[in-house]
Amino acid sequence: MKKFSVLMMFVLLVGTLAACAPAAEAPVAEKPAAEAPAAEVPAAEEPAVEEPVVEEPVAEKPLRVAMIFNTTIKDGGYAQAGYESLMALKEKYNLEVSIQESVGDATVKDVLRSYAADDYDLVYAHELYFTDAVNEVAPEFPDVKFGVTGYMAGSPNVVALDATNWQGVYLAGVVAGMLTETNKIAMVTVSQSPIALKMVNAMYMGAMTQNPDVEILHLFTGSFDDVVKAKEMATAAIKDGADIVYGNAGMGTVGAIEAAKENNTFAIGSSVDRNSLAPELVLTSNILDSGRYITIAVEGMINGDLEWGKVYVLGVKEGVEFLAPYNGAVPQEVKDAVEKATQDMIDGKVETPPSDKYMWE
Amino acid sequence: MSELSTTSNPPSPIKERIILFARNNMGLISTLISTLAIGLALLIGGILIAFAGIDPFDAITYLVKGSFGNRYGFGETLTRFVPLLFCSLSFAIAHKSGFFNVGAEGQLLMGAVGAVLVGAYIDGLHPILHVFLCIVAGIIFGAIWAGIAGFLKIFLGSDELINTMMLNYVAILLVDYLIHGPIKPPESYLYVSATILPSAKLPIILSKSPLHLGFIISLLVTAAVFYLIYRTPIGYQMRAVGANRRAASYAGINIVWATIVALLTTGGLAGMGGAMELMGTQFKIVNGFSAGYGYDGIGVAVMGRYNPIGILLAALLFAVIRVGMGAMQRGAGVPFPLLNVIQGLIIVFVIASGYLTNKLSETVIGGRA
Amino acid sequence: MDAAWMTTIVTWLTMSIRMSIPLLFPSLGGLISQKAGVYNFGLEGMMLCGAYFGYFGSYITGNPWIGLLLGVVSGGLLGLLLAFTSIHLRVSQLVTGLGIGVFSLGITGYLYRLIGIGTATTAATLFTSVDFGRLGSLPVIGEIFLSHSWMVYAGFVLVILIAWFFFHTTPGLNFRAVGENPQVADTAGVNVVTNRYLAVVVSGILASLGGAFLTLTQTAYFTENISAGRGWIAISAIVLGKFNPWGVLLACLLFGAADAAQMQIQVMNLGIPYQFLLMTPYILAMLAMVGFVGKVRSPAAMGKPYIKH
Repeated sequence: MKKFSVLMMFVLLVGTLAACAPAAEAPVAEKPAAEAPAAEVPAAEEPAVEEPVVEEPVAEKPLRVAMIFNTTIKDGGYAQAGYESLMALKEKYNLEVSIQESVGDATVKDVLRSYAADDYDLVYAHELYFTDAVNEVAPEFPDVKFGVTGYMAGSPNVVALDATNWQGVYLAGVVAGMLTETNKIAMVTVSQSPIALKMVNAMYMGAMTQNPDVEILHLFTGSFDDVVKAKEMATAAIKDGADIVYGNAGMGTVGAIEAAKENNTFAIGSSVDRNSLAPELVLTSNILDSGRYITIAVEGMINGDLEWGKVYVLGVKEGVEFLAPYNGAVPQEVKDAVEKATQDMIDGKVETPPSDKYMWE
Repeated sequence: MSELSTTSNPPSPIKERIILFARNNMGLISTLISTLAIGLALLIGGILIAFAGIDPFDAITYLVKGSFGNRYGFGETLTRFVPLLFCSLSFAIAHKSGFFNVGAEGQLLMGAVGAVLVGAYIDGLHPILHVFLCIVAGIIFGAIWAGIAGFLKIFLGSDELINTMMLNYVAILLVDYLIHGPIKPPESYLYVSATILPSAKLPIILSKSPLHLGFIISLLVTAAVFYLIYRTPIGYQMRAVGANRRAASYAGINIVWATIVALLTTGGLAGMGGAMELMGTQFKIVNGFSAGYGYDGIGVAVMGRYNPIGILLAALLFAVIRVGMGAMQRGAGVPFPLLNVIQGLIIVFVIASGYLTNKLSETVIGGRA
Repeated sequence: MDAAWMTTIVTWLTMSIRMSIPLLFPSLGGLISQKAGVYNFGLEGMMLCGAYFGYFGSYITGNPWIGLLLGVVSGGLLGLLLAFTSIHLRVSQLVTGLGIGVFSLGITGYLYRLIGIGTATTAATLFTSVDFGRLGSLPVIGEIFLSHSWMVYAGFVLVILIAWFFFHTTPGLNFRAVGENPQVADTAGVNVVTNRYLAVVVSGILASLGGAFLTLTQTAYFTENISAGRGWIAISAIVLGKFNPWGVLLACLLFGAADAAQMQIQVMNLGIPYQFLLMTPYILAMLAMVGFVGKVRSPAAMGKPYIKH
């Protein structure tokens, strides 16, 4: 048994190394890697494969766009908006598109490299946590353009696009601050991420402009999928006296609004317009048009008006964040206050909230 | 299975020769049967893919091409193979010793924590020493995590299924806490752990691919593990305890000691897998670091029938599935949920095909499966 | 005790009950299967199918009962698959269960996408809470015990029924014998195969009820992976409950109460890192194992295929 297994391992090992030699001939992954001033991967050592350099005719070759998501594309929010925009772009510009969803951190670099090696023109990673990976892989493929929904563009072929992730919530805070009677606003998020903290602080700031007694209850579900838990969480907050529930917890957002519906409490949605979940009670939703990033990246490539190596932060001014149409329960004075707050933000009069601590602490 | 290959037989008529051939090649035959089962699962999967309006042959081509057909994909497959192998070894050795460890997922995560502590915070070491110390830290952390469940089992008689499962959830949340503060670099905007230093990273062994040294280490460890189980006194004791606790006790085996060794090994292996994944692939810990390797490792161990060749092949199969399915999404546009369906079909079909193998070995060997 | 505390406690207890039911159904299912000697590690997948098909049936027809029926059928079919592989083919019950989990995650996700993208129009019709009339408006009791849908009460009734079946009927005795010592049971004229098949199919049905509970009483929407690991917690609850229906009920209540408690503590805003709060149900389960439960004896033939001699 032992001898046999050791032998087998040896065979496997030899097989592995042997298999590498012919594999090197494979067309994919060669060209860009050979030219790359590879940062991490010791790829540049290999001699460049002789490929006749033929000037490609600048013909009607469709633009090839790949997009990577770390969740399912049917999340009813963030990823879904990105996916739907990509499909719209595909129709409009006759793109050749490919997606890979539910990509984990363990594999994201491999996915990026596979797409880049496969001659995609634009590889877009629609996830904040992919920022580092994109910036690490991009220098290996200088001919490929990379986009990321993130905060850093460390290579001349990368563009990073992100919302402020707080301006819309600030506006929601204005609404909540004016309409709360118990002065208690509940926010349900998945975790205490920097974005979540920024949102909580933005809500606090927005509400404080209207109501100095306001208090925020920040609750965590620990899961992107668990609708039921988010619902119970919001219910607990309502029983504790919160009279406006704001949900931004992946698919749990729906659960938070259902809790409001069951307890006849006002709610504010997030990501997309959630009014249809409870038309009487969903005051508004702070819409974050996360589909715009990919649109900007693709159209920027087509029109050549995008600055690469740059981080674009988009907010109320650019129309990426805004409030959905109000329901009947929102009086005119609230709408006016939101309008004024919007103008203040466009004028740069509102400070960016901190993302590392609660403001009231 | 292979022990039987040494029995000598006199010349015999054709039927007996066939039986003899089958007896001597059960490994080959069972691999063949499993392969047929995979083919059947892919056939059904292909029909589903066709229903979704995608050319199934195109999809299958990408499955193969993505995981074997080019250098990068090949390296990627063998990279995914590493943590799967470690987790399955962890489950297998626990199984042999009569301990039901479903906690590899948590132990792997804690192993990565150990490796990150040494890898990111101890500076100025020679790379070989640094890598070695990181691996040791991973082993220790994984062993401690399994040791908690083990302690509760040995001294308080508490069921290990619950404890290892609960410790998985606790480990995930504990790591989430750690990356929110204690091991988060202060300048980082995101919640991640510190990145390990270059001297703690495992070197790439196949250029232009992500394949790192952990692959070779994992093969050596596999050999060592099976040597430990089958060729050492403590391995014998562990197996004796696993086979029948009471009988082992009558035979004078120190059950507590054998169980402790088994536990430390099972946790250490999973922890080592976490250290390898960290040092070879990810370099830092984020939420979702493990990607379910611990659970897949259970499937690998059982499908591999707890023997070394079987485990290597099964781990390779799971790695191919993981990598090939990405390629099927990218290349052929197969919807992600359908890939889960196909993976589920492959698992069920391969495991069900074990019936044929069992039946066959019953017939040709005349004994039990 | 002031009113605020009273509200907190009432909310907590009400929530505890609501949160333990989706664990109770699959736990009872797993218990039945394990009592007959077959591990059911497919509970999570069966729950998912129950949740999806329950949702789908109710969404299409507007009638939650049809949803429930569809969900139960899907769970039963998966149970049949597990029964066939473990009883007839005698292959690993653990891995078949894992396979069923992956398969169900995929098939429900895929079918859900076929319905179409968008959240607006896809709400299912829910079961409403049982109307207890004036009793329902009793101060504390009303909210804690009389504010639920019929499925909650069905869960409790099931515990009683199963306990009675196991410990007070002859078929129940035979049933347990099949899981303890199939050879002896067989000799005594008990049909091992039939009993085990029944057990595993019923266990699939119960697990799917747990999933359907989520989408037919708790939330009107399905999401991919909505069961979120409850099927695995349910497996722990069986051991924690010492393979006894009453124990399983207590274990599920413990999990539900611990989860509800950590939510209440989050609401109190005490500044404890939320990760530690989310850990409480798991740590409590481990402590309970050590403190009250002690050594658990599982059915002797559990997980072992039966070969008739």
